[in-house]
Amino acid sequence: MDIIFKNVEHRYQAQTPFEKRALYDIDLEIKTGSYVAVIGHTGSGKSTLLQHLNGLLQPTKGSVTIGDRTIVGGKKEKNLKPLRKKVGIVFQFPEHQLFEETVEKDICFGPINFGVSEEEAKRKAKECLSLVGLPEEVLTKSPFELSGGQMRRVAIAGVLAMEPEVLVLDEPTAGLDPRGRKEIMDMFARLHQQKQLTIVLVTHSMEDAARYADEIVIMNKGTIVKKGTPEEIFSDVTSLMELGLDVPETVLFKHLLESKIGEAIPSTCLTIEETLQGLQTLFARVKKK
Amino acid sequence: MEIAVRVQDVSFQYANQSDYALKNVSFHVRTGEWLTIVGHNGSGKSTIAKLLTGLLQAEKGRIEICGIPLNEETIWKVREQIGIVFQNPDNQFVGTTVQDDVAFGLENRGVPREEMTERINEALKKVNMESFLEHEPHRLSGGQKQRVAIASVIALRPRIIILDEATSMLDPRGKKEVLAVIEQLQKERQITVISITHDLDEVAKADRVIVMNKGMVVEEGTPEQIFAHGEKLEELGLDLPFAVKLSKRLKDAGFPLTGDHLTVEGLVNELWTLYLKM
Repeated sequence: MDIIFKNVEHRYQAQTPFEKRALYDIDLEIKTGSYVAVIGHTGSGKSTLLQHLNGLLQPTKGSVTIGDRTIVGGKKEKNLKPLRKKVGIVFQFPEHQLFEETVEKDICFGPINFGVSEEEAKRKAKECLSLVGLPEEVLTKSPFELSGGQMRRVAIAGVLAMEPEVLVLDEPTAGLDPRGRKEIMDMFARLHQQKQLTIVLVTHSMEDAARYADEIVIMNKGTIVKKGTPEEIFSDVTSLMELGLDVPETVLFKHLLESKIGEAIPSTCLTIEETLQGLQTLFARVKKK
Repeated sequence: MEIAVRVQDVSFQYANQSDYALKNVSFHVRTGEWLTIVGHNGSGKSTIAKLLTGLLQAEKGRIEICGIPLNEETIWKVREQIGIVFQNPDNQFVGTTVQDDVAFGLENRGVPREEMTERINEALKKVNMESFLEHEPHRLSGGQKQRVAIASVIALRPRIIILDEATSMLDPRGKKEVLAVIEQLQKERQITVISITHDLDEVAKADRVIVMNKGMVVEEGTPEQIFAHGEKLEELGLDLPFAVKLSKRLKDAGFPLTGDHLTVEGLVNELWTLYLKM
């Protein structure tokens, strides 16, 4: 299910004294099965953009096409339920949305609302719980007895149980410790590969964007300023810095070392492994000379 | 040397939990010092913050804040000394506008109106939110909200500020701004800072770091000393600075590096020397 943004603009509280333009000139294509990272400062429009992905917000101009549905700016679109089933959004701190008595009931809430039988919903709950790496005995517990990291997994399982085709993640690892962060990000990478889920990741972490995404979209002040593969995006360190964005530490390292020794490290240096290999190749080559 | 916070043999257990969240924890923080507490989720870090502000009561042990022993009678006096900024600012808003929100704490303390206006403006200026006075807090973005929450604390002029993962939702620039503000407050006003975090930049800013695991203090030292533990920290589920990690990988791969390299600059310099020698 491809998602296409055409010349999208969004104004909050349009035609009031509080009117604020949050997005403009957005042209973006998210292809089925891709993993796209959206990067930008706080207030750059990332969260506004992602709420257009399932019609929670509708454009005030332009159009958003999600699969076979097109939402046109200015026209109020109704019956968005099928769309919301196909595009699951995991918001920031999704554990705050847990409310049921048991984990099982909480995960079943979404599927049942989309018309799935209770039996089927329970089956899905079990399956999704194991997908997020939690043991089955958690099903009967109250979600509020769990640790923060476990609660977040339950909330994510609740979104997965609706079997979306597109998974939208708004800073899914905020507030988790380094181990929890890695586990959750690896889990999404696995879902992306095994279930061909399209993933849209909104993040501040350049490391995550470099490591996991096939395509990176950089937003600044409400519009897209750059698009490309991680290699393309991070090959231009200076322009990222001009936008006040960080670059992955590996890329910064490459930049610093190259300017010292006056020779390029033969690698894009997007991960520690790549950096290590790049340095090995470079030093081996120098040795031969 | 004045002691701002003294924690002695404190233990705490949550209801319905078999393990203790804190086991005989002792540490102190000097006035004007920046202490960072690290540890993975569930290690007991946040429990400490709640005990220090009297939101939870220790089962055993003694807590002293600015010389005042913490108990039921002194709790309000102790809370006047401490400002706490939590992880999620959404749970901290009460006002309908940014300035009302910052005013809330001041109103509760009976600060005269004129002084209040002055303090609100000053606090919001410090966090670069002075142009948002009339905005509705819930319409701000995450990072902006957190800066307002910090302004609310600053306006009360506490002697101790606790940051409970307060920068975890900010973008890199927002985080730097907030940490710079806190650092400035620490220097100018001798404010004691306790930051509870996973963030390596917050660890690096500290004068001293304690590492928690399973409710106990397992390590204490300067940031350099703590990072030098390397893999042991990773076993505790903590991250290491990139330079430390790459330096170790290079050494394992046979690069004749000598230093520990806490910073990228240090590592770059040694690699440069190595490159020139070849």
